[in-house]
This record gives sequence, C-alpha cells and structure tokens, in this order.
Amino acid sequence: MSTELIEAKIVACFEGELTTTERSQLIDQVSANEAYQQLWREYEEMYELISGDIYELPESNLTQEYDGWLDGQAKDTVSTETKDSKNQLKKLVWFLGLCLLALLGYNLSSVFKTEQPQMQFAQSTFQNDLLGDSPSDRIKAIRVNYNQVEENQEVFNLLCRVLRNDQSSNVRLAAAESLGKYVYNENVRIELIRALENENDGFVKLAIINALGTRVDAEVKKTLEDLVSDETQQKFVKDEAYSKLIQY
Amino acid sequence: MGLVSKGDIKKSSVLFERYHLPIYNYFLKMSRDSALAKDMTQNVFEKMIKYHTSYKNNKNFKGWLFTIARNVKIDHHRSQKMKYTDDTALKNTAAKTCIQGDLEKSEKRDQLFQAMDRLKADEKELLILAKFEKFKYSEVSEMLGLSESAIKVKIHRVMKKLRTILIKEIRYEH
Repeated sequence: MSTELIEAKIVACFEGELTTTERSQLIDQVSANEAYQQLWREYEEMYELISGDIYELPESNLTQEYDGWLDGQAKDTVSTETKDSKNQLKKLVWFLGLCLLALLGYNLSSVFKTEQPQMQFAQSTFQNDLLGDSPSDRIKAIRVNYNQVEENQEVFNLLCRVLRNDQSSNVRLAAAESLGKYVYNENVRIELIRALENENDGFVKLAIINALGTRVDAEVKKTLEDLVSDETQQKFVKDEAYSKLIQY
Repeated sequence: MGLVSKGDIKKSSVLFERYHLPIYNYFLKMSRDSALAKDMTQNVFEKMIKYHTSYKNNKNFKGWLFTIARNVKIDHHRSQKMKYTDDTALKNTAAKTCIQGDLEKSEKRDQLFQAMDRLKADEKELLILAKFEKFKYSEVSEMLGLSESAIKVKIHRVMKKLRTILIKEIRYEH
C-alpha cells in the first residue's frame, strides 16, 4: 500500500470516518512500519493541537464596550426601525395632524403643553405610592404605576432600595420581579446579587435567582454555588440555583 | 434571539456575552490582528441588530452569526486587504499563550498558526469553521455554499497540506 493511501486513511481515521475493522487494519499496518508510525504521530499531534485549542481573550473587556455602545444606540435603533416599518402610517399621521392643527388651532397647542407634566406626574405618583404606608399601595406602585414611568437610573435606585429595605416580602418580591427585567443593567445586576445574599424570604430569592439566571457570569455563578452549598437554605431555593448552574 | 428579533435590542448584550469570543477568535485566527478582530467583532453584532429580522427561529444561531461574520470579513477584505501573517502579531500571540500552557505547547501552537497562515484564505477559513469552531459539515456547507461531500474532500486536502507545511516548512525553518 502506498504512503499516500496510508496518509489518506490516517486522516480519515482522525476524522472519524473509518469503521472499527478498517481502523484496526490501519493500526496494524502503521505498527509494522516506522515511517507510517511517524506520520501517525504527526497527524495525532496536529489534531490534538487543534481540538485542544482554547479561545484567546481580547485585551480589553469587549462586553463592557458593547454594552456602552448599546445603551447609546438602543433608542435610536428602535426608532429607526419603527420609522422604516411604519413609513406609510407616518405620512397618514402627518396628514391627520395637519388637519387637526387647522381645525383645532390653539386647543392643540394647549394639549401639547400638558404632555410633559403628565410624565412627571406619573413618576411622582409612582414615587409617592412607593413610599406609602400600605404594602398594597407599594405593590400597586410597582406592578401598575411602574409601567407608566419611563425607565431611568433614579427609578432603578428606588426599586433597589425597596428590594433592600422593605419590610413586606410581597413588596420585595414585586420589586425583584420588576428589576429582573433589567438584569442587563450592571447596577441592577449587582444589586440583585447583593439582595440575594441578604434576603431571607425563599420566594423573593426564587425571583432573584430566576432573574440572574438569564445572565449567569462568574460572579453570579459564585453566588449560586454558595447558595447550593449552604445547608441552611430551603431546598426549593437550592434546587432553583442548581438548575441555573446546570444551564450555565 | 427571539426577543432581539422582536425589537428588544438591549437583550443582544446577552448574545454578545455568549458569542463574542468565538467570533473574536475567528477574526483573530484569520487576520492575526487583535485590534482588527475586536473592531470586526463589534461590527458583527451591530449588523446582527440591523438585520435581526432576517433571522429565522429554527436556524442555528451560531451558524447565522458566523455567516454575518464572513460577510463582515468579505466587506473588509474588499475595502482594505486583510493582513495575513504578521510577525509581530504572531509573537504577541505566542507570548500570551505562554501564560495558558507550558512553553513547548505554546511553541507548537504558534507553529500551527504560522502553518495556517500559509494556507489559502478559503482553506484557513474552512479549517477554522470545521475544526476550531467544530461546526458540522452540513452547517459549514450552508455557510460556504458548497456541498457536504465537497467540504469533506476539502477538509482532507487541507489537513494534509497543513501537516506538510507544519513539518516540512515551519519546523524545518526552526
């Protein structure tokens, strides 16, 4: 058998294309010849180098840079897409707007003036309800009013404060679930990790684990591992943490 | 990806975290230029957001992302010839890998990459996709627009050529 043919068979062998019989026949042929053995070793080493290759890490933290870029672009991108997909609708809206302007005149301008105060009013209502005495008011603030408030760091901070300090576990649960939607935000993520370490209520912990589980990194992994190995934790909490670790 | 394709582009940071290393290493192996690899990785994810509507949920996401990466590479190649085999970059790579493993293994890895740099660009790309990224032949064939049997034949040829370069050229020079 020629060297070329043996070489082709060695490559096929390392590619996993040979049957068991073909493979053992090849090994017999290789064992009987010093040059073939050398050839085998060279391919073996090359395949090992390739299959054992690990990813090189970039010098800077690309994820942070991307998140920074994303924060700046997110709103623009969404609005551009909306413009593209609803171009015709926009023309119609413009036409109707002009008609309304002609018909209503000064009434339209007075409606426009009240728009900004309305948004401010929504945020102040949200903040007031969040500081209310009744847990049901505070839950309502989170579950209902929060949807009408524009997301911003101030709102996140308020919710984080509730998650840390509120005496009612139901209120903390609502805060954890709301914050969980923004786990991509680095500050929110850190707050959730901290809250998980200090939280006593199992169901609040469950909500936080579920939120963090969508974005497991080394820090989250360590927190979850601590939970799993902590004998004092409730079983369902440990099970949930374990399931997220398995997915990671 | 489902949420991103529905317009929630903030969710793309999860995808970035999960897939940026394979993409970065694909460009790094192709160009041996870490700054270029970094820029092109960012570019891939920008394009992912731009063309998110073209993603079909039943498709292999990593494969789809690599198709974008190939297009980014081709665009770049058209506008400005990609740098292949840059000695400085190779030395930097060797220095970095010393931390990860022993010196001998690091040298061998460096020699392997030098040998890869002497392959044709399409051969090198095939090797990266099929062997380093471990895509199935069916996925590579879809990405490169070739039949599965053609991919299989090409892989055999590339592996033989790579060994020849590695043993007869690179190690001989050393």
